[in-house]
Amino acid sequence: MGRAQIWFTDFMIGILIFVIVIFIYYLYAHGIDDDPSEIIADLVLDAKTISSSLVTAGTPADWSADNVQVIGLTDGKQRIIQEKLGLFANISYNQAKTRLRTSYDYYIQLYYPNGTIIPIDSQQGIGLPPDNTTNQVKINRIVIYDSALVNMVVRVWQ
Amino acid sequence: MAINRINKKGLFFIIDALLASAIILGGLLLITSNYVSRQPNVHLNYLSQDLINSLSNYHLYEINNSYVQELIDNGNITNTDNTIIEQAGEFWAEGKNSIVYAFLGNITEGILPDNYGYGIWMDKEVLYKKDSPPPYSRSSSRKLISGIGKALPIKGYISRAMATTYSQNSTLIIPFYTAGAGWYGSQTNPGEVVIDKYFEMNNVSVTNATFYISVHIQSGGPNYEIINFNNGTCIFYKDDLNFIGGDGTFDTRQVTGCLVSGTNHIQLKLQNLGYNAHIHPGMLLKVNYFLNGSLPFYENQFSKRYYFDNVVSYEGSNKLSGAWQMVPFFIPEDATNISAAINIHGKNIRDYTGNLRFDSWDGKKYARDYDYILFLNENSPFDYDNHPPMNPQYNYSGAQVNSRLVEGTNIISVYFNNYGDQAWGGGMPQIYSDPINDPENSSYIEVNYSLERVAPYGHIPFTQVQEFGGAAHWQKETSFSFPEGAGMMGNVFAHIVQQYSYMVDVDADTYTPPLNRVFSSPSARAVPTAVYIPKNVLDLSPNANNYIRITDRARNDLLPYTAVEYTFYIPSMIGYGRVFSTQAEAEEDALNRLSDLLGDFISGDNIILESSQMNDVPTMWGPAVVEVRVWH
Repeated sequence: MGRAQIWFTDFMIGILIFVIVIFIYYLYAHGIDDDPSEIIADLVLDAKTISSSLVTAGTPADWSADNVQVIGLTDGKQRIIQEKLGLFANISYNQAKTRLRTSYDYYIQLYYPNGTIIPIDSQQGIGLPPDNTTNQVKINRIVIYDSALVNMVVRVWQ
Repeated sequence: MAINRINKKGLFFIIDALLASAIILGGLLLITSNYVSRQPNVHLNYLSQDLINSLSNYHLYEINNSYVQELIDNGNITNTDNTIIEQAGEFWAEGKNSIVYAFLGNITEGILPDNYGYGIWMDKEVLYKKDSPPPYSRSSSRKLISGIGKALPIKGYISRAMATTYSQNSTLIIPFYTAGAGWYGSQTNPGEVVIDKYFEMNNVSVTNATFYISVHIQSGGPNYEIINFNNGTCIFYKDDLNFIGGDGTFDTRQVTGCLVSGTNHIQLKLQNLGYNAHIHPGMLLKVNYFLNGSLPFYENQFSKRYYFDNVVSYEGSNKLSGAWQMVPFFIPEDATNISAAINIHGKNIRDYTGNLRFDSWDGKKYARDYDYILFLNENSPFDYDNHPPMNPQYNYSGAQVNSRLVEGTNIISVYFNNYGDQAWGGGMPQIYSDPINDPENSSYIEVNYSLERVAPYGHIPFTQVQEFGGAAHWQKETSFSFPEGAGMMGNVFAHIVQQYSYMVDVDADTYTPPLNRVFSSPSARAVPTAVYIPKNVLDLSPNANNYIRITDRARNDLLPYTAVEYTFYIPSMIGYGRVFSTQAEAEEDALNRLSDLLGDFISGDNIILESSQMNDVPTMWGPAVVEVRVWH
């Protein structure tokens, strides 16, 4: 009788440890995931939408800050128009987010092929620079700017 | 000791549980962290599309690139309006492979991250490729560009040529209308018919002329002058001819030297002793000639007069005479606004009042009622006269005639004081015609009609004649094809050659046996020398056979000389051809192509050459497919 009690107690302690470990994992998993795959998918979707919008001429094609419906930075033929770039840089961040139809943060930069950043309105980029610790998606687009083929990097992050 | 063993067993349970938990927890963490850290790849499609779009819209004049400037300076780039893709295409077309490689590499270098590879292809031929890294995942975008072709010049000269004057060897058929007659004479005083035919041959040089003689005359009796060309230039006598049985004769004679440029006059004298002398179907003059011509302009309004030949019937010993003639005329099947007028002028016509009865189109009839008979496409008279004046003129307007006209071959037959094998005239009744000196008073049919189009300007007519050949038979068939290069069909005629004739049917088709009946004799002996074959039963293709079958209902033989005469139009100009580096090469090519087009039929004399320098004409070559591939 006493031997059986000892075996049962040990067994229960083992089960308890196992359950505690599973519970710790549950807490971990619940903590990292607001569902991380869904967030990334959303970021990708918004990054694609934003980058595709920016390589168009926009709507209307000669848009201004007052009438812009879709923000586009080119002539419709991959060529960045300096005026549109300036307009985009000067639209308020929240208005731009609305026009770009994203709830996430964004940051747009231009790079020469050698990796040098092209200043836009004396800034390194347009939008809010991402925090290194956050979820982010980056998309490269190739455009014509200032007599060269350049990279337009679109970052969307949370 | 027993308790210690039990405690040790409990310790093992706890350790086992910790180990199992650690393994499960580690596995789950590994899987989860791996799942969370993998980011989707969205770049490839954008990069290939962006690169091809950028290169297609990026003009050389925009580029600030030392290598491109070097290419401009050394002349490898001559048009800075070109886009990158267009310039790469030109280099490719010119075979400048190393230049196009360096050119694309210079412009695109560094535009993609180092861990991406990419390449540019033209018609599946690589122009530039960054090999590293090897492809794991790949995307491709394509565009079409025009105006270039591998190893084809993109700049140079093109030429076209047009012959404004030409010379050709061609053939002309001049048919003689069936006509008569010289009636029932004797050796000392034969019945005789004299037929005068006039025709024009302007600006031609006769290279060969053959006279096909098909007449019914007395084979026996005295010799006499039967054919006279141009008032004695050439004379043939009855005994010169080869009679092939009975009184009908068919023979041929070379008459090349008998013809003159301008108006020609041929007079036939046909005599008979016991029957009547007349022309049979198949009497015609075939003339091969050399012509120097200039490009004709084709009217689409036609007004053509078919003049009768002048026919005089002289009475012989039995004091009988009478003149008749059958004249075919033609109306194309696609003619509109058709009208015709007829003028018949008789001379020395007898107003017969006797009781002679003749075998008519509808039983026996009194000759006194039919001193003049006119048939038009039917086996009953269109008009007749029982009391004609000595020199009657009969005029028929379009209102009277038009309803009797048919598309294709029409036949008008005129009889003065005779019908069939019987005559009741006297003296020298005549169907009067002198188209050279007295056209308005001559006997004629005038046909008016419109055609949508005869042939386009710049097309030269050419006529060929092909005999049926083979053996004489009551039914004969031949086939012919229009030659390669014929741009349009002209008139086609069947020329019927018979020793004796009654009624014929003519069928034509592009199959054999031909099923389209294009002519059927409307009455006895209404056999024209020429029968019009409608174009819509024939095929212009050089690969098609056009069949013509002629059948004599009474099984009289059709002779091998029976022929088809077909006209076609050859374009005298060729358009622009290939691009050549020099104008001389382009012009030589144009001349060769024109020569090939005109073939053996015609040679261009005065040839106008037009050359153009070609630069960047998008439709000149291509299209070529340019493809950008991106991979990592």
